[in-house]
Amino acid sequence: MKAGFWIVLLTSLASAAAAPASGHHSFEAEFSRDLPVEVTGTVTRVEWMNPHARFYVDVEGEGGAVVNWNFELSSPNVLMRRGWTRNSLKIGDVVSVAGSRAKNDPLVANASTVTLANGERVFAGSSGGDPDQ
Amino acid sequence: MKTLLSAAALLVLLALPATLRAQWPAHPTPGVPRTPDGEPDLEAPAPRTPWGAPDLSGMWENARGGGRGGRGGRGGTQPESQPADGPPLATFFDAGANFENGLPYQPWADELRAQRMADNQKDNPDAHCLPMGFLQFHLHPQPRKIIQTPEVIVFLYEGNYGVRQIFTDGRALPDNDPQPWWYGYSIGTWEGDTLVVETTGLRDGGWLDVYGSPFTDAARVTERFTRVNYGNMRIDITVDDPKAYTEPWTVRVNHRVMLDTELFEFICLENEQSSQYYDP
Repeated sequence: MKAGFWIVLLTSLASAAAAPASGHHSFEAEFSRDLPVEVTGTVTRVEWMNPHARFYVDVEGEGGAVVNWNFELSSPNVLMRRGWTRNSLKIGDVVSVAGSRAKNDPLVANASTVTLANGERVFAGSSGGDPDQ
Repeated sequence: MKTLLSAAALLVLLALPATLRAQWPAHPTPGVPRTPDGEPDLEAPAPRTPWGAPDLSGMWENARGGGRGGRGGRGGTQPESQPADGPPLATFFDAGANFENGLPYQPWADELRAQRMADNQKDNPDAHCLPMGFLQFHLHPQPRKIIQTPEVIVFLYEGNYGVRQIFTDGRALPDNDPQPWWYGYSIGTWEGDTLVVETTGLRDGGWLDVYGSPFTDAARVTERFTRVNYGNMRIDITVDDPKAYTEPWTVRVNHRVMLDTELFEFICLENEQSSQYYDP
């Protein structure tokens, strides 16, 4: 077996195990997988609230203009059952976020992976990447 | 390869257990039967209440987890295979997932379901912080807690913080054209060790599943709850709704007990922003 196969398998198993599968709204009602997002910036606010936890990130764009992204996660109960808390991400943290943008707003997105500057992943098991969210 | 498989298994194990350590001090579930090696004995006989009824109380989760499964499904976190006997298993997304030809929709109901799917389920009450349909509640991947007294059995659902009460004090279903409710009006009687619940008085325009299988105010729902052993409960649900379906149909939902945990608060409207971004 090639190493690549195992990496794919392990990643699949890990994400299957971490899939949140709560059910506030269908992913497709709000976001589009055809609008991928990848940004790096500084956390300005964390809202550990229902029905979705959210965090906001200042991102410097072309020409130095800063825009503030609104990233949606799963619900706090789903995240807490996976061990994450309202303190897992803090204002001032520098994060790289990948996800899918909202169809109807250029600065709203679902976060599928959130990575701190030291490489640590937070919110594994977030709503992103799971159509069952 | 063995090491890699072990690593895979470990990853799954690490990700699966619900954790409370970041939430509250631990409060182990009392009275759990144990195997000789001290593990919870989920196959032990179902407990009984002090007044002699089968005891359904406790924390429960849908045995399927959150997956779609079944016909046309995209797999799930904890797939559950359709047993040879018993009614078809329903899924959170598709009540008719394990029916060979789907549910017996009336033509208008079939069209409505197709429209709800085409709209990406944006009008699902759950997506607007309103109560889910009774079958969505049964299948929701988040926990539910059952509180049982001789006179009433109460279901508390973590998903969308739903509350449902089933009267077991011998009263009849109301016959005075009562106000329809999201949860309807439910009475329960015991047939042997099975709790049989009859529900009428449901609101019109309901959603049975995420894909939007409808139910109407004509629905009469019969649920049969059987705690087959300590760890497992079987719920067979018959939907008799002649407005929406050409004949009554029955599905099964399996629950398994949850130990050492409690419900989390879920106040859906505390920061609901999603709906403003739904497709118009």
